[in-house]
Parts: sequence; C-alpha cells; structure tokens
Amino acid sequence: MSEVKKSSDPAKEKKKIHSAKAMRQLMTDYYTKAKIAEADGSKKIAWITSGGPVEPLHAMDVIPIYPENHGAMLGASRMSVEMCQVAEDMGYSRDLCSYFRGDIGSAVTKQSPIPGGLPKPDFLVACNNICGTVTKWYEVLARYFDVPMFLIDTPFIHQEKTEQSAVYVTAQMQEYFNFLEEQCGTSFDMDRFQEVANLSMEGVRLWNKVLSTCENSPSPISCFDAFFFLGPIVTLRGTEENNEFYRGLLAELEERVAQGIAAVDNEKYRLLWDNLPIWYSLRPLSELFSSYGACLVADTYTNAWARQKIDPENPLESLAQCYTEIYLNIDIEIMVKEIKGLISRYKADGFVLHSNRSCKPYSLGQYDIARMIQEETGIPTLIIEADMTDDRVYSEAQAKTRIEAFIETLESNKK
Amino acid sequence: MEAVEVLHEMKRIVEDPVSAGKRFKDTLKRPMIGYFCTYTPEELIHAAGCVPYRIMGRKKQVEFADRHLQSYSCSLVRTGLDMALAGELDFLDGTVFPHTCDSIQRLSDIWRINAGFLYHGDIVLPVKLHTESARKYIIDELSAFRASLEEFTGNEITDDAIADSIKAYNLMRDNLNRLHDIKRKNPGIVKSTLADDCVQAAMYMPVEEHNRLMADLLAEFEGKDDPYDPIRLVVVGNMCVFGEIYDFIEDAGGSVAGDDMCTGYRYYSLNVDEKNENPIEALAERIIRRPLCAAKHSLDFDRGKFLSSIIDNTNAKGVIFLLIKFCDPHSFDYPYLKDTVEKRGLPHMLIEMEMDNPSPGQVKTRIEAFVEMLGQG
Repeated sequence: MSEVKKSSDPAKEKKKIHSAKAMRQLMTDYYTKAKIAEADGSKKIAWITSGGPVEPLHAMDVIPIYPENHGAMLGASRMSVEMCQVAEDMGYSRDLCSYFRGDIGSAVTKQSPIPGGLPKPDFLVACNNICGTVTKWYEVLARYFDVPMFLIDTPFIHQEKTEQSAVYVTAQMQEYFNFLEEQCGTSFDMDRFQEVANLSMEGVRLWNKVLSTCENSPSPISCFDAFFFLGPIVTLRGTEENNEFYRGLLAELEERVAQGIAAVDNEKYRLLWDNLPIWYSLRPLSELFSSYGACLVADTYTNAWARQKIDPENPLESLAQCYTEIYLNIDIEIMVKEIKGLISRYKADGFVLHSNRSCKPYSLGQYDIARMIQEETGIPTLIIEADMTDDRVYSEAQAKTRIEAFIETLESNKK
Repeated sequence: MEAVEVLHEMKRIVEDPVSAGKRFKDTLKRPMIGYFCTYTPEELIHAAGCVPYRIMGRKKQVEFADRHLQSYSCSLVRTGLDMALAGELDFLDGTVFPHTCDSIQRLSDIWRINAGFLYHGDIVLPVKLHTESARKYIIDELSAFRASLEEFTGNEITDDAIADSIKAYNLMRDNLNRLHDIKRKNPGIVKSTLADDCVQAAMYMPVEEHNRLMADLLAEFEGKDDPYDPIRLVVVGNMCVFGEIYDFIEDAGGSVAGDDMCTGYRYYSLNVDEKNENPIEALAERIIRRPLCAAKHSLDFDRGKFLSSIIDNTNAKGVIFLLIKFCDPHSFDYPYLKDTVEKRGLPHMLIEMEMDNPSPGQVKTRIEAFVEMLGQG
C-alpha cells in the first residue's frame, strides 16, 4: 500500500500516490464534522450499514456514520483484537463477525482511532443485503444506545429476483422515507433527493473509472491501494466532496498510466482478489505479492461499489432494485458469472480468495466458486484462510507458504 | 399402543431418522421433501401430497462437506450437506430452503449445485415480520411455493386440501402442547428426553402417524398424577440434538419445565387459524406471530420478555442456554437473554455443542453441578 511519507528516494516519490493526502484530509474532515454535530446537536447522526441506501440520508441532511468503515480502521490500526476481547467479555461469541465485536467493544470503551470514538447515533439504518449479521448487530446497537432502528430487508436472489421481492423492497423504501421524516421532523425533499441521487451516480461512475485504470498493463495501482481509496465512495457517496476527490484521483491515475508508472515493477502476474481485505496485513501482503511481480489488479469487494444505478425519476423502484441486486445478495452461480467478467476485463492470470472467518455470505461457497472458476477459465486459484480484522486466526507464515506455492503454479503456467 | 411403546417408537425414530425416513417413504410411496428450518410451511408440502422431512444433520465427523464448507460454518449445515453428499438422503425427492440465516442461504446454493435432488425450492421469507409489506410478501412467497409444488407434483393444490392439512398439523401441535402441559404440572409422568423425542419425531414422521401415536399416549397420561417435584429449569437456544443432555438434567434431579428451542416449543407453539378462509393468509399469520427465532426481526416480539414469561409459567429456578456452535443469530441474542435472566436473579449456564464433534459426556459434570447448585438455592 502506498504511504504518504517523507522520502528522499526519487523512485519512491514517483510511486507515491499523492491523492492519498487529500483522502486522509477528506476522511478527517468527515469525522470531525460528525463529532461537532454530535456535540452541538446541529445535525442528526445515523449509523448505517455499508450496503445501506445512504442517498435518502443526505437528502434529509443527516450525517451517515459507517461502523464497518470504523471496523476497518480498528483493523488497520491494530486496535481490533483488544476491542473484540471487550465484546467477548460481554458474552459475545468469538465466532461472531469481528467488525461487530470491535464496534461494540469500541462503543463501550470509547477507544478508537477517532478521539472519543464514533459519534453517537440518533437512529440506525440497517440493510441486510450484505448479510444477516448486520440485522442482529444493529439490534444490539438499538438496545445499547436506546435509539430506533430501521431495517431494509432485501430478499436474497436465488437464480432470479422475483416480482414480489421488488414490490416488498419498494414498499420498504417508502417506509424508510416515512421513518426519516419522523426522525428528522421534516418532510422528505424529493428535489434534494434527485440532486443527491445524481451526485451518487456520478460518484459511482468516477469510482468505476478509477478501478478501470487497472485494466491497463502495467496497472497503476493494486487492489491494496483500492482498499484504501474505497473509503469515500462508501461513506461520502452522494456528496460533491466525494466526486471532487475521485476526479483528482482519476486524473492522477490516468497520468500514471500515461507515464507507465506501475504499482508493481515488472508486472508479471495479474491477479484477482475476492472478499474483504485482511486489514492488518495489507502492507506485508502487498509487498510479498510485489516481490514476485504479482499485482492484484482487481477485486470483487471494491467493485461492489461500482454497480449502483439510481434513477432519480423513479426513486423508490430504482433504490429498491439497486440495493437488492448487490454483489453479496446473489447466488453463487451469478457470482461466478461476475467473476469471469472481471477476469476477462482485467486479464487476470490467477484468482486469490480470502476465506474470511467473519463473513459467511462472502466466504461460504468460495470453495465451489474457486472450483468453477478453475474449471471454466483454466486459471489457478488460491484460498487464504484469515479474518478481516481479528489477526488471532491468521497465520502469516502459512499464508506466505501458500502464496509462494501459488506463484510457482502461475510460473509453470506461463511456460 | 401403550404409552411406553409410543415413547419407544418416538425414540427409535429420533435416534435413527434416516432409517425412519426410508421406512415412511417405502410405506407411503409419496414424494418426500426435506427441509432445515421450522419456518417451512409443512402444511403446503402435505397438501401437495408430499411428506415433509426435517434434516437435522448427523452426529458424525464430516467426510465430504469439507470440500464445500469451511470449518467455521455451523455443524447443522456441514453435517446436513455431508448426509446429502454421502447418499444418506437419497430417499428424498427434493428439498426446500426457507430463508433462515446466512449459512442456510449459502447452503441452498451449494446444495442446489452439488446435492443432485430432483426438486429444489427456495422460499425467500422475509427477515422482518412486523410490517404490512412483510406480511404481503410472505403471502406472495407462499403462493409462489404453492405453484412450485403444483408444478413438481403435477397436481393442483386446492384451498380445501390446504385447510385439511392445517387441521392435521394443528392437531399435532395441540397434542404436543397437551403433553407439555401435563409434564409441566406433573414432571414425574414423562422424562424430559422422552417428551422432547415426541417433538422431534414429529419433524421426521408423517403427521397422521404422529397424531395416531400421540392420541394413544395422551389417553394414558391424561388425569395421571405424580408427586415427583424436581428442580425446574428452562432451556433456551437453537437446537438440542444431544438427548443425553436432557437425561443429565433429569439424572441430577432436574426437569426441563419449559423451553425456547427450535427443536422444542418454537416448533409446536401457536396453531394456524382455521377460521381464516384464506389458508395461505392463515399460514402467513402463524409465521408472523409464532415465537420468534433469533434469525428473524420483529418489533412486536421481544425474546427477553418471552423468556421471562416462560420462567414465570414454569416457576423455573435456572436457565440453560444450549447452542450449536457457529450460530450467528443465536450467539447475538445470548448476552441480552443472559442479562434478562440475571436481572431476575436466576443462575444460568451456557453449553455449546458441535454435531460433528459429539462429546456430550463432557458436559455431564457441569450440568450435575449446576442442577445441584439450583437445588440448594
């Protein structure tokens, strides 16, 4: 992962992604504004899931906070395990999602990379399109903070989305708008919503273009960089600041492509990554793959935020469709089709799957997915067993051995 | 049949459900449809002329499922898949998966791709149960499932047929409710394990057969009295597949006076409204109003309050939380329910088991000590 550090090494300077500084500022401002709103009560604060429809929140001038993004921060800053242990002492099983355990541990102790911890929610919005865990997580939060929770229940798509599912979710979007009006004490501003929806769509379009720069060979960044730059499209989607940032990043990446600046020098193998990042081991993994000339050029996780399409003319139906048809809410065979698309687009030579103990919807089925990809595309696959933020279940030595063996397979395939 | 023979038959079925399933298939010669979750509308399967059959995994190390499921998935899905891949469930004509939890959701995909059954149904029930839009959606999904069964069997499922099936299943639930009422008043009349066997056997058997056996059983038990006054406990959790645990409780002088278990009360509580002329609607109502599984979300049902009411009704002295490991929904609820019990000043203990790593003997001492402690309190 490229770091913004003072370096007198011109080669390193060249490789540095300058937009990282702008991003840190953007995220700092975002959390600062939220903490100020918590203190002075000037705006409502809602905690929302990463797959939740955030556009209506912006339309109501509510600040969205993402405990999952916070969970990633806890993982990256290596505070996660300590926070998880607090949750475990409360009786929460060690087998539960580590984002949740870290979040509840942080909420209770107020320990966090953000001074004072996350700002308290006025209400909660959960959408179970990503998993059933968030429903239960937010029930716990609702009891802990004693605030209302709204669940958007998006039925899973087995083979085909049904008409009754579309009707159900569309109805819930209206219920969601009603809920927001109740919580905010104001009426829903459809004009403002249209504005936000347009900004959101533009943000998604820009994020798509950012990721697409990796179709180039060599790729200007790797998915380890993409994991870092994912923050704004998740937390600030629907705002002008978000789009401004990605315009800057896109310009920088296009310049890198033009200049032939590669994420991995002597890019030899192009790989696809599946599942969430291993947040506490981004740099070691990035460096290890790089040392073999392997670049993780794309991944299914960051691509999940490149799919949304909201039709401002048809808000309820399109919100319903957009948030039902996300990557984790579809069956394994549909996922395989999408993965094959990514492999083809990015010209991937191999597929690395993170079997993430914390995420059942993403991880269960991977063994079949790997087998089907191998059978249908011929590219080799590697499964790394870990957890996204709880490093107690990760063996770096074991992962290293398996990666080395995988590289050997890639090498012999090239011959 | 005498009560002791009925109980023997129930236990025989529960201890070897695969042999039982094969026996019923051979006798009835009707299509058998497997299911994992008690939100399955068994009445619809029955009305279609099929026999519903619950799959509750097996107490054996997995041989084949490791190729498809990581070790951190629950042993219900792992051993259940293993049974299918081993050919143990070949007597089934198909399976149906109501949406339950993340693991069952993915199991459905893996199963459809690998298990090789003729019929595969998904009933994507909502997680949310307290809204009008959810109610409408349940009705739509049940209607779609009805159409799917009609296509599979080639027969129309009339409203009258569903109404008849509802009557049969209501009788099954009535019988189990009566049995547990009798046991609550007179714990000495039937051991906790045997009462639980009657519940679990119902999940594997044709409902008419179960109703027949239960009629005989209740005829003998009704009006009986027994002075035995054991230490009353409540058991809460997901599934109890280790009957030995209830024996350990009884052997230590305890009795399971009430429960909030998937393999227990949640299965047979609350009948379907026979007065509702729309049987699909009536089935939807039961789904909405029956005691909530942790995998569901309803603002109209508080599991803590429900547990509290069970404790009141049974005069329980303590609570045992019994969980099959790696169950996210129930693990999430555990601290809240534990706090509920503590606020009432009652002791509690947690037992976590795995079907594919069976070692019930290890908890014997813990249970004995717990029940003994309750007796002294």
